[in-house]
Amino acid sequence: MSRIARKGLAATTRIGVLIWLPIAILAFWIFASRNSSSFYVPKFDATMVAIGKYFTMEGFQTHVLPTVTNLLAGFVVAIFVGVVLGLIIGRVRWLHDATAPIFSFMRSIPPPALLPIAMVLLGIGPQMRIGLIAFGAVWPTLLSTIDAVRNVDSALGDIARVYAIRRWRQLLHMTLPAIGPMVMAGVRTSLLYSITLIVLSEMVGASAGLGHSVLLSQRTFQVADMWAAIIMLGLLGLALNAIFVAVENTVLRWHRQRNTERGGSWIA
Amino acid sequence: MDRITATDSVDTTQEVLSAVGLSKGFGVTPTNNLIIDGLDLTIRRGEFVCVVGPSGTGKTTLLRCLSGLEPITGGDLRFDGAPIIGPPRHLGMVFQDYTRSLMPWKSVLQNVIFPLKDKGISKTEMRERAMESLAAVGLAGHESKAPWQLSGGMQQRVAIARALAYRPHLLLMDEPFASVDAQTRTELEDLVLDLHTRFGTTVLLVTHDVDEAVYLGDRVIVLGGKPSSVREVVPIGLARPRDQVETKTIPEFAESRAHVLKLIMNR
Repeated sequence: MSRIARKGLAATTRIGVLIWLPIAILAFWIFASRNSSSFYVPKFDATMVAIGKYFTMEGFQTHVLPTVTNLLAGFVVAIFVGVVLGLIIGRVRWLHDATAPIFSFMRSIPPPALLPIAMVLLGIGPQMRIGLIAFGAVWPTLLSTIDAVRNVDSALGDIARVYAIRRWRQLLHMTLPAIGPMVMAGVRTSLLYSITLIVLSEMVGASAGLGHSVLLSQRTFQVADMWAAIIMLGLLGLALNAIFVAVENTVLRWHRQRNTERGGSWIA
Repeated sequence: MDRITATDSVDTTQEVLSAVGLSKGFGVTPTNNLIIDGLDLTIRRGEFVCVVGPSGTGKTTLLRCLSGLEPITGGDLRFDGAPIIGPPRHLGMVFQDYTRSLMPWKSVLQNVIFPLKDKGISKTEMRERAMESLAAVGLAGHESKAPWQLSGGMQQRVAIARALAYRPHLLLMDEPFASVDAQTRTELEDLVLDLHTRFGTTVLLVTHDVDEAVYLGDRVIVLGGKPSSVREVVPIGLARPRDQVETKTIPEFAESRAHVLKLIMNR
């Protein structure tokens, strides 16, 4: 077999290995649902039509956009507060000691349990959703930032002092990169919490959004619509994660490259 | 004479570092818990001084005090005549563990330039100094690499280049060659000697290796006692330039080495 043919075969095999199962499941769904008499099994064609609605201008604006914007707003607030607060608390010993027990407790409250109080305090509009996400998703980022700051290598501090590095330069060029890997791990979890919380909060009192659609379709027996919304949420999560990974790879390129060459972490 | 000079004035009798009755202790009442007590030490411009002592005498503690990283408990400590409160501006330092003192998210060049920022030095000059220093330590061509892409010896060279570009009045080195293999160690020893000769850098090097101390230094300060102080200052009369092979065959090398070793072993 020629070299090109062999490479082509290798590539095809690789792709084949990755997609045979999804295709099999898809095929199974198409054929099994075609003649199904069960009401709750989504028919392939109907589901595809329902999904298509989300890709129209109107559908997108009414349902996808509110979910995404509220999710991102809450998420951004959560990580901003988490990092800034984490930097302060991580460096000020007595602050850390004072807040540690409280944080321990707060982060243990399952965020969904905060939904009722969020409704009481913030109503049922978008501000409730953003607030709930911000409050629920801040903990992973906050706590990993605190941890990271506390564990920053003292050698860095020695260098900064000996060579008279300005405070802001120390923060931007030494502390932030050093804590980067650990903070990103927290941010990833915060993203997960944010996705969960937007769906949950949209099921209460919202009039638009994907989470709302799921519940509404279920209540009005629009099975295809319900599954369509669920699939859309899955796609949204996938997209957000892909973006996160892309950002992480750029920001932490040095870390990734270094760890593939030798094992080790900058944070002692 | 090369363009880079480590010092502004050429007064070689001037004292860069002076310690009188230095004491250092830890804990709630440090004076009851002294690691170092009654230590006197003077480093003059242009000297190459080595500090040795038995393990546990507090060589690193001493260096941290002399560098201003640790506050002293008692005594008088001056850098360029001024009392030390925190690391002095014109002090450079090379630590033992290069993996922890270089920033892996910056390139070699950026690491060397970093201390020069915010010091009123133009961008072009910063870059020039950095490139010169890297060339001086034999790392020309490696500027764009990340530190972890280099070998251990090369990484320590980056740390040395960084200190060199900073043009300190005094370069403190804390067991700088302890973490590299023997062969690299001899290369780095000669590198530091070369830099000392070419640029007139004043060096205070702490080491546990007696051979190294005698080979490198004009004087060897031997620490000892509990709490530790200066046991003796051994002048090294060996001619410069020194050579790893030739110098170590001179009888005087063995004598000095034996003298220092005896002091260390007798505690």
